Amino acid sequence: MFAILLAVGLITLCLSIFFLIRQNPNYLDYGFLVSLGIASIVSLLLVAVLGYLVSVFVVTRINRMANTANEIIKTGDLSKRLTIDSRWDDLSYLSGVLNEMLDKIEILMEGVQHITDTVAHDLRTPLARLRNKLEKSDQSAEEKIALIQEVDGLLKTFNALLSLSSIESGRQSTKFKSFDLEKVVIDAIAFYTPLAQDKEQTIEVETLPINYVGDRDLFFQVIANILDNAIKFTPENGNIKVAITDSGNNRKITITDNGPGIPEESIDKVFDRFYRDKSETQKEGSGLGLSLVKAVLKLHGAKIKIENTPPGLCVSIYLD
Amino acid sequence: MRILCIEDDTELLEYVTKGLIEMGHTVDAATNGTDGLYLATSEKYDVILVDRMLPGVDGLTIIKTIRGAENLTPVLIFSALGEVDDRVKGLRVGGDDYLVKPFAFSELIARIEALNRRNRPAVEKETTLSAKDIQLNLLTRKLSREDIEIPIQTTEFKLLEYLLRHKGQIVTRTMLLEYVWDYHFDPQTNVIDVHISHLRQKINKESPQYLIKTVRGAGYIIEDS
Repeated sequence: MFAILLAVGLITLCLSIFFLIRQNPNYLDYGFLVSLGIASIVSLLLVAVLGYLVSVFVVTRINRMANTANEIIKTGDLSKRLTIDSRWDDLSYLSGVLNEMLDKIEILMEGVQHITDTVAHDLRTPLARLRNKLEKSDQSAEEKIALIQEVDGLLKTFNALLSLSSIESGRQSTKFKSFDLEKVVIDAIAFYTPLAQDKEQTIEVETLPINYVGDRDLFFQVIANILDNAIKFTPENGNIKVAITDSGNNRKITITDNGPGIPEESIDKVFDRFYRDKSETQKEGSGLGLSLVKAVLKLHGAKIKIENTPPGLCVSIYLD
Repeated sequence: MRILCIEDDTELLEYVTKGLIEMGHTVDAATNGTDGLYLATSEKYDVILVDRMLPGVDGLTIIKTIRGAENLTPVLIFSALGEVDDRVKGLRVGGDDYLVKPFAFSELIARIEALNRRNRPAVEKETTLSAKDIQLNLLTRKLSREDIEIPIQTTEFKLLEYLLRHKGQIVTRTMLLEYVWDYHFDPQTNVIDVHISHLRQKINKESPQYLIKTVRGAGYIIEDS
């Protein structure tokens, strides 16, 4: 840094002398040369001092950044941040950006940690049960079936995780086709109607013809998962309403129920993998249903919004 | 039944072969595509089971080759590739059914039996399916028991039709999902069971297990009476 500044100073000086002499050769007398010499020495010194100061400023900052980064690597403590003591220079700006990146990484790491914990928990419990039951060598047919069901549950969770990651990788978007979305919605409702009938719930339907480009089976899964939740959480004699609306370029599917809704503080968490509200830990389900819904919609460039609309919950899918 | 099983995972091959032999079937096994293709073209089988990924000749090529030679033996493909796209590819080259690993043995048996039945030439085009005193008319789409009509919905009709077409065989929940509903997905709740119980209620309120029996750990069956 310092050397470059010095070199630049020298070159500009030489060039200015060269041009002065070419324009007016008469200046080449002794007095002129002396003053030129002094001027050049002074300017060189000035450049040298300034350059030194700048390089010290830069080097200390860079070293400080490197030290902080080193510390984070060594201790694994992602809560550390780079110190920023000025606002005007590029390095502080860089530090600011790096700090933001660290914020993001910290959040992601916490997420990964959380998922690992829940995966471990959700898979360990059925495995432990399975092991205990297998220890008893004489299995009755009844017990055997219970064991098989346990394994099926595990496989289901693994399959859901695998399809989730496959959807998130975005590979499936290559086989998108145009399909009749209205039919998919109606089929999904028909599939779930007996379940609602058992709880004396009514499902109101209000659809319109709609074509959509995407994966038909995945969309069926989306509607199915949301309906499954609606039926599960809405009490007996409840009412569920499914509607497709189209206002210009805003095609939307809404699924509204008159159940208890979701506590406001956990409404953002429902899409997290393995998240289950305290009230639903007793009910069956993998905690992956809505994660899958969100991943599928993201793959299709669609959005989902869940809001409490007392009495009940409203899930909106924005298709465009 | 004479069955050919082409699978490179020896553990799985042994498990499948042993299970099938215990059920009284004759099984030939091949651990690579080349041997498998040789057996498939030189011998006569009732059903061929083939893995998609094989050393030597891959599963899809085997199917293409035997179909090219006008051999119409039903083929069941099994594979770890479970995405719909892979199924479609497998069925397009001439496979008859597709089973994703890991699968339950009961699922495999149910599908082999369904395939074998499909292979039998139908004597005449059926217009009525029946079991016990139940009649399902495929033309008028009406269900009757002892000549009394029972109102039935479209889905229930399709469910009953599938079960009756496979009378005497176990039909698994996955088979019903794929063939009655025509969607590939995993229901979070066992909705199929609810459909079946509603159908049973309609057929016989007094003894719901009257026609459609549950086979625990496997699926459902309408017994051939």
